[in-house]
Amino acid sequence: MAPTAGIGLKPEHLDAALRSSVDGLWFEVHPENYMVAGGRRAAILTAISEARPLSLHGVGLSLASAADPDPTHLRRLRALVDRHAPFLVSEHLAWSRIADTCFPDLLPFPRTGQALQRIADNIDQVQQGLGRAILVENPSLYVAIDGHAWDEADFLSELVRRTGCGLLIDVNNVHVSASNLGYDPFDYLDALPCGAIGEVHLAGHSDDPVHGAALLIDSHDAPIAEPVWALYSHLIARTGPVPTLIERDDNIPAFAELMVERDRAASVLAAVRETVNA
Amino acid sequence: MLDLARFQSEFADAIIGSSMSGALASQPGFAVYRNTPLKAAIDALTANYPTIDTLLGNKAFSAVASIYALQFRPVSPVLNDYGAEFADFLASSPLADDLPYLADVARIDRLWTEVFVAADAPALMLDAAAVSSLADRIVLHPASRHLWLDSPAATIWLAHQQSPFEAIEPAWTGEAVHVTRPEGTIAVEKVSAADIVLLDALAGGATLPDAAAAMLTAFPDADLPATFTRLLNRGALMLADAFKENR
Repeated sequence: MAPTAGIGLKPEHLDAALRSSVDGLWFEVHPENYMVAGGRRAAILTAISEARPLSLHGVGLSLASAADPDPTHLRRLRALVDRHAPFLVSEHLAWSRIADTCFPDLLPFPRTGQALQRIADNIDQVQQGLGRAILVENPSLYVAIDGHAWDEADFLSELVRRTGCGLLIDVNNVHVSASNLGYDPFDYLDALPCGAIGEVHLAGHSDDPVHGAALLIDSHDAPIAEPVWALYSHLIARTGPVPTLIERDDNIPAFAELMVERDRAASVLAAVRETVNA
Repeated sequence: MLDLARFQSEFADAIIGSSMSGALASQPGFAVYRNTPLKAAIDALTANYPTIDTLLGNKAFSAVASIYALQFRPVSPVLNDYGAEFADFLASSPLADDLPYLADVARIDRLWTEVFVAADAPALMLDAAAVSSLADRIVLHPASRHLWLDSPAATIWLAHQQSPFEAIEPAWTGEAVHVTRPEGTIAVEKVSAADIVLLDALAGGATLPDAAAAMLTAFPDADLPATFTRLLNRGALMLADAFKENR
């Protein structure tokens, strides 16, 4: 069966993940956690990629840098792609490196024509370096930046047009950014080029400890919120079934608890598949 | 037009803290961009130096880790590798006055991580007695690390791997540690000063016979067969041509 809904793999869930017999289940990891010469980490990724479809979701290529992607990092990513043959490879519309300093984060930038050209060049380099197309993910945003020349949805559409990349739409990020910056998340989703969407992410967020709900944080430490499920159904009704991932990186519950959210996403996908086939 | 390189540079400066002013850094949400990389770096240090976390307690560890993380930003997105200077940082910190073994314990945590991610290769499995014809081809396995420490850090490290741990008062003496990965499980053990002579010689490229000779020259009473058997049992040796770089 083709991949339907998946879960971000945590090493502590490996045994339960391998035991599961659920149809359509797939897994995603951050390749940066598996860029090792050998040992248990390498064995985990081999076991998972032999058992299930695997997606590599990078956080380190810094696509929105005014500099080329780090060739060493790109080579290490290529080695994982060659060894594990992931069905999806994705990265973020963000930057995390400047010269020799890395910020383990996904930092924003002004969506100018210059940035568009630079990021398109970087995506080209990555796709050439990997020998395949990647998906690019919309970020969570926390500050208003003056000087945007492009809406984010149009910016993503133009990257797709120029580079042939696909999109990974993180619906929680859409909710968080729209809430923090004050725009309509449904309008945002409706402006996306839905044929380019190759993956969807769902995750939990939290209120900022100081500013409360006025500042939502993409914390991945809680169950997916109902407004995010509503956005998800809205998006999937437009796109049809798209591989969907449950992301959880903190306050990690038992595997079975994540599977409840995963099964809910799978049922949304199944319902829209029936509609498409009807 | 807002130049991307200049924007990145100013944004990075604002995260690091040298320019607090401006329309961006004054927004409440900017704190997220200050906190997230710092938390990620502290989390990585906590994962990479678990015994220091145990020794100091998580609150004190996080305080020390945040000082380190602000001074030594990651240079790679691969955070398994983060914290290479942490032991030296601890050695020169005020903590070293009260806890003079702390940096050496951190060095053992670092060896653990290096062994955890080291390359796979078939370990030498022969009986010690059957090896003489292969002796010149025997080298250290990639998942073998050893270190001489000027403190009883190996005893302290070993005592803090289980919770609750018993109070110990080790004699203040230097110790040697050997970290290996037999059957995929990491083994940390105290070894003799004689063992370190042998391991240093092998690590420096000496053949096994030459390394054994160096050991017995330095420590004429050393038990070479026992050392050799232990190295085989720990998967610490392999044949030179058994290792194919697959990084």
